[in-house]
Amino acid sequence: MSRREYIENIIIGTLLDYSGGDYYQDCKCSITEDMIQDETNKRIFHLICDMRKKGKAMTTPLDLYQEYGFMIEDMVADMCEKCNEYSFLHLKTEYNENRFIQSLITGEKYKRTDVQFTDYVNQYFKLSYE
Amino acid sequence: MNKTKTEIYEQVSQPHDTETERAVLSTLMRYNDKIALYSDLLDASLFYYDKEKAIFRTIFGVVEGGGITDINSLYNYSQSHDVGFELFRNDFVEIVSNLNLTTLEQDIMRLRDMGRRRTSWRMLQEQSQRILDMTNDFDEEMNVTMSMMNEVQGDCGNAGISSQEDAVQELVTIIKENQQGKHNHLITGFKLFDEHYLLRPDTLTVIAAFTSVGKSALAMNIVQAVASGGVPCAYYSLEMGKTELVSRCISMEANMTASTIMNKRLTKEQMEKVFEVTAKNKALPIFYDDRSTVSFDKTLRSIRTMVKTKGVKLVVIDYLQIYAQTSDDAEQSISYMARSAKNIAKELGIAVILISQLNRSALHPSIKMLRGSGQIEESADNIVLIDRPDAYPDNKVTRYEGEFKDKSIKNTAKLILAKGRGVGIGCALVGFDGAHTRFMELEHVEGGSYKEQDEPLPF
Repeated sequence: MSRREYIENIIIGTLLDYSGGDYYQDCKCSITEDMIQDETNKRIFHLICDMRKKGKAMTTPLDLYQEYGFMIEDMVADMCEKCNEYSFLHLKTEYNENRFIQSLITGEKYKRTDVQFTDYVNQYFKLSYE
Repeated sequence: MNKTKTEIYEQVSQPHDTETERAVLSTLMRYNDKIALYSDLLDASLFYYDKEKAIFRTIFGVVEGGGITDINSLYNYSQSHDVGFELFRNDFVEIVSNLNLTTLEQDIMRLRDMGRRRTSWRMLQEQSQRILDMTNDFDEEMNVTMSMMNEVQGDCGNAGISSQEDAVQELVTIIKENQQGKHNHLITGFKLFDEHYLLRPDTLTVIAAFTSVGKSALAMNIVQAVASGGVPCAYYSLEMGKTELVSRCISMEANMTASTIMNKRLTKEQMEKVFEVTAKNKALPIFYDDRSTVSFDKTLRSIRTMVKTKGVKLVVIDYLQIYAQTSDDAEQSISYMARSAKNIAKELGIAVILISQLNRSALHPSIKMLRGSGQIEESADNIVLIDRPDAYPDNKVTRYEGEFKDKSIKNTAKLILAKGRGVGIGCALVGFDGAHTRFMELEHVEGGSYKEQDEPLPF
């Protein structure tokens, strides 16, 4: 998987995992549908934008399935996988925890990251236009 | 030929029901406490003929005076006061037997409905005559007609009044919607606006600053941010054309100044960049009115149309004093425009941004400098002042006043929330890109929030 594909999955996974922050606001001005390479991700992004236009803030796989029903049955498993494995908050927490445990083992000073979701959005934007 | 009022009214038999009117009058005569109960619904205009109107005025007058509504006291009152029609004892005797207590409320509502239809019909007839008169200003007459209709429609007795329970229930609904992430305030991308929820429906926000500080630029940035969220916006500009406004929108993303885009012959790479950016921006739901001959009343009419047809939720009016230049009494017209802007925000449930100039009577802006009228300060829900000393290098001001005095004035501007109804006051320092005429949150300047720029992203 290339770096661009990986970051694309992170963006889509984060938008699907509505865990306390409105990440859609961070990427709505930078990312357009034509930038997304993977077809499934493109469809998911299109559905999320559609939901937001209708005024619905929650765009988890369950909400999308309730809204679009059988039309997206083939994507549900994919959406759940992305939501679980590529959610930004989940990855960041896991990274910081690993660093913490590592610092306990090696005795090094614990250095956590405070990277933001927007950094990944910016990186994706740059990779799209390279 | 224009008809007289009497000729107009006599042409058509208007809705009325004498039996119901007499039933209501009889009940009010016998049960005086009902007058107090239905006082906001009862009016002489409920009754069609002058005789019933006079009987109502008599009953009302006697009850108000603390008397008893027997036939003698009613007759004596009608003789000693001007009730609009000559009444005799028999007139009161005739209506006494029409009592109907059980359906009193329904009867009153029915009379009100008929009364409002008669009033609307009369108004429309009179206004249609005025509109056909070529000496009258069409837009003014239309505005008067719509105000009259709004008045009649709004006159619903206690229909516009809610109980504490209703109000609390509405608040609970709003709280639940907030929990779900829905919000009715508009997101502008500027913390001062978003954290104070300034652009809410029914609000008038005034953005004021000295000349050439960037009022239109800030308003345009806000419109662009709101429209990017899919919310339709309208921009009314007497000063700049629509192409100039759009060129400012795209200049930052295209990394070219607005004047380069508008006037210069672009290179191939520049053309590609501009077309790429315009492709992204052209679908934004922003509507422009840049006619230079339009009056404020026309603008208000246009706003009503835009809200109804395009679902516009944010309107920017640029700027107040330029509209007032066409009037004889600038101060009075500014008061009228400020009040009207607030009224239209409330009437249509939208957020209105009104741009205003400040008098340059000091080095830093303050709310007292709002040029033209104190009514602006009274009508506005929020007032945001822009302080950008960098715009006037001759003043030799090197520091901000008050908060942020330790910050550089270069490429920055201070947004001062001088008035915030229900939200308090505050200020914020934002970045200003002079080349692209754009305001931005300071986090978004080159460098970004992730400070360790040379380090790769952790995962």
